[in-house]
Amino acid sequence: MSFISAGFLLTIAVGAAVYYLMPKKYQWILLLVISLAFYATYGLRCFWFISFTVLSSYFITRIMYEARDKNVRRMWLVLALVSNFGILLFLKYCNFTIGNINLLLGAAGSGLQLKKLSIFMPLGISFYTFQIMSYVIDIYYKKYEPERNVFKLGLFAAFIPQLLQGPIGRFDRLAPQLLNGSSFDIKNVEYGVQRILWGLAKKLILADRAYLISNSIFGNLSEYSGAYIVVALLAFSVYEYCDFSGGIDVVIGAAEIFGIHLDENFRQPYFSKSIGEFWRRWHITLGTWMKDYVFYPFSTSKKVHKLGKAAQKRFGKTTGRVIPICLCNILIFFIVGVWHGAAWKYIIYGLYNGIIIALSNLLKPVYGKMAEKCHVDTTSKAWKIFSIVRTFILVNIGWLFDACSTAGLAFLAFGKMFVNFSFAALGDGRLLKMGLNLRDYKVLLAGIFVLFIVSLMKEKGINIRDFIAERPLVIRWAVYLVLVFATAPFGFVGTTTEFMYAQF
Amino acid sequence: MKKKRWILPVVGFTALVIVINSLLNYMLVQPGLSRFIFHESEAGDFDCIIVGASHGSYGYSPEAFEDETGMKTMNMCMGGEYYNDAYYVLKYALKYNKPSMVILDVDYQYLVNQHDESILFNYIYNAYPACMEKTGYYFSKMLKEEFRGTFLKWTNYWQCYKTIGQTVKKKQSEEYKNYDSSVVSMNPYDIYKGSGFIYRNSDYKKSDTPCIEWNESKVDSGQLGYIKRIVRLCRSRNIDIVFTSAVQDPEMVGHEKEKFNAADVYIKRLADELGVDYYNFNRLKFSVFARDTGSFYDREGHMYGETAVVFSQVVGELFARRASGKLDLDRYFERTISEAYENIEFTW
Repeated sequence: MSFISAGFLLTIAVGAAVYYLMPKKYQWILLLVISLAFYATYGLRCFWFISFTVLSSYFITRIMYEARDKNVRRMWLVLALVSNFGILLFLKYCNFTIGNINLLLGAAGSGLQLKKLSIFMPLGISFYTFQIMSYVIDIYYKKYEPERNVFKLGLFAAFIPQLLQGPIGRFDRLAPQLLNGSSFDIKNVEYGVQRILWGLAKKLILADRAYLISNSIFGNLSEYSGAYIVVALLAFSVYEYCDFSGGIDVVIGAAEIFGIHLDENFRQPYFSKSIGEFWRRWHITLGTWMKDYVFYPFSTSKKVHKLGKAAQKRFGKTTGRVIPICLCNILIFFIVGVWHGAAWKYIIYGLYNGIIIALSNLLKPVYGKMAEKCHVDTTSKAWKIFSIVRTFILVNIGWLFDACSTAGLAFLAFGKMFVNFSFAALGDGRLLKMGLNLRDYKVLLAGIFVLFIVSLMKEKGINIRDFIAERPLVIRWAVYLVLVFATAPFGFVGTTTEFMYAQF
Repeated sequence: MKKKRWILPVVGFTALVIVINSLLNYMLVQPGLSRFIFHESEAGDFDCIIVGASHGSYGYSPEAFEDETGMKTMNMCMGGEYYNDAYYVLKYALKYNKPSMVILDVDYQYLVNQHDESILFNYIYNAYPACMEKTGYYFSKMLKEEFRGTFLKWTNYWQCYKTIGQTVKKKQSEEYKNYDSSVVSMNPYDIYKGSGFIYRNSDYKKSDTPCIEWNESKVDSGQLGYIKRIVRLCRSRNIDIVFTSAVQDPEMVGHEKEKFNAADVYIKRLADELGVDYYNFNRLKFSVFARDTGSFYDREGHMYGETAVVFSQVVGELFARRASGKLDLDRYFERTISEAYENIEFTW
């Protein structure tokens, strides 16, 4: 059952009604039952995997916390990480590895070809593995005490809707909310419904339409060039953002109805002025996970410290200091790429982002000098707009690796953007043969405009949700009625795609 | 008292949404045939019920079938009727009838093409009369479907806002209330002949819509499960259940004879496992039922009305012989699809 199914919405509505009728201390049990029942609709096989992750983490953290010897604790930590990430890597990368070995064997002239395995991929594994491993690492560092009830830990890992597509939560912030229960507050329900409706509108009005355009063009790359590729890329940009953030809106809204406030995962990412900033605004919880559990441990390790010292000797203090950070960034984005999927295109996508961030760190002094020489005021509005546009272009080039089915096709698409470029070509009628009619394009453009205005207001610090909630009842109801019914006449009807990140 | 001040706005807003939504449903959703078919099935005296999808609704004329078999027949095939829909459609028909035979027309396309979350496939559910069976139908199908399909039924019909007046007038008319199918907005080339049979006029220009390819690896286990449930349901009521596949455009079958053959073998194997007779009318000998591409209004193989009437007579004759124990399969069928379409001449 997906987030746009009637079943999901009914589960939330009925679940919330029962939840608030229950004594607080038992509310978590209901959440666990709802979560497991919902997860079961995706197949019972998923349970084996999540049960292993929860049980292994439960027992290991209990033993690890009690152990006095640091080496013993470290051994248990390694065991937890290797076994859980091992499963994730095996499931995701086994066939990818076999494919590459086969390529090498073929290139070496060997007739031997390994057979790919038929692998079952449990839904949400990328999310819950990261979420629960953060708990294990925190316990290793004795940030808090381990959970004594395995079912409570199970709820932390399996809380629907978060389980399927994040945001990746932290135990110390999420568990108290899940386990302590909450009293009914109409504001939570109102804001939660608001957020769900907004997410559904993003998905059904914008993402599903934009997907058709990008999929039609990137799926038949040989037939298109120039302006069409640019249109496809912009459409993909809309799709990726509206689909992922729309899904997250539904997740956060659903949790909010139960009085549970999840971490935000997006903060107007397309207003970023650098790639580094983009990653602090896009998939925020993955970014902070990487920062806390990869970047800091790696950058503060003895080896990297030594490397920094050596680099300072070789390249001078300023550059030498930056080099280890650059390497850490490249490592992090390599992992981000690996996390996204088992294909070279994702690895290249990760490295592309990592290298840009590393280079901008490395060349920061040079940029500063250039700006000074060219008399560019980097605090001016014009420069900010220029930086936003530049970052948007860089982000979109990166999206090519996500949008195209292989890395080779992504490079081909990039090259083709500059071939026979003419906006006039867009008038040849092919845009209307992609499953969308003229009205669809009008709705899409109008929707993007509304989204832009809303994002701009948020960027300016205007809290739209509070703003709406503070209006008189009639205006509030009018806005909510529009949101409730908007997806019927304006939502796309046809092939509705599953939320992209719910497949991770 | 103050603490509960939220109740009134919440109840008020919910009621407002329900009222507006019901009004929009009433004013925009067009009267469809499904509602009438369900109503007709309530007659209670049908000896034979046919369930299946659009090939069946355009292919089986109950009247012609009845002439040959003497069994009063209700065709409950509807376009977009997947096997889970067929199960509940049949359940509804069995509430009112005690047929001796149920024919499940198996279109392989509905096995390998599990529909997406689109709300376009909900109209059978939406027309399903309110009853206990509908609850089961809801839980087994609609819970997984997109929310607009059940909550905002008018999504598919919002463009009809220009004809709201006419729609309301229709729905308030005596004809509509008395289940007179003349109020249904149908394709201008279609005539509803009653008992579920739609007669496509031969003036309609043939369309190019092709068939979805058979691919055994894509067979949906859920749909397969519902075929088995249909069989169990019939067995539990001592009803003779038979599988058929309506005849399709011979050129389409000829072009894809290996795929059609594979589908035929698969469905035959399934029927054998379940102990059910299976008649794939694509294997009908051309000498028994002459047809060419012009007998079908699209390449996928929906029949024109004239073809359907003759075809139904042939089917009826076959079932009459079966009932009398005199059915000689070799007289009607080639052994394989490949054999049947070996010498087909192609015009497209």
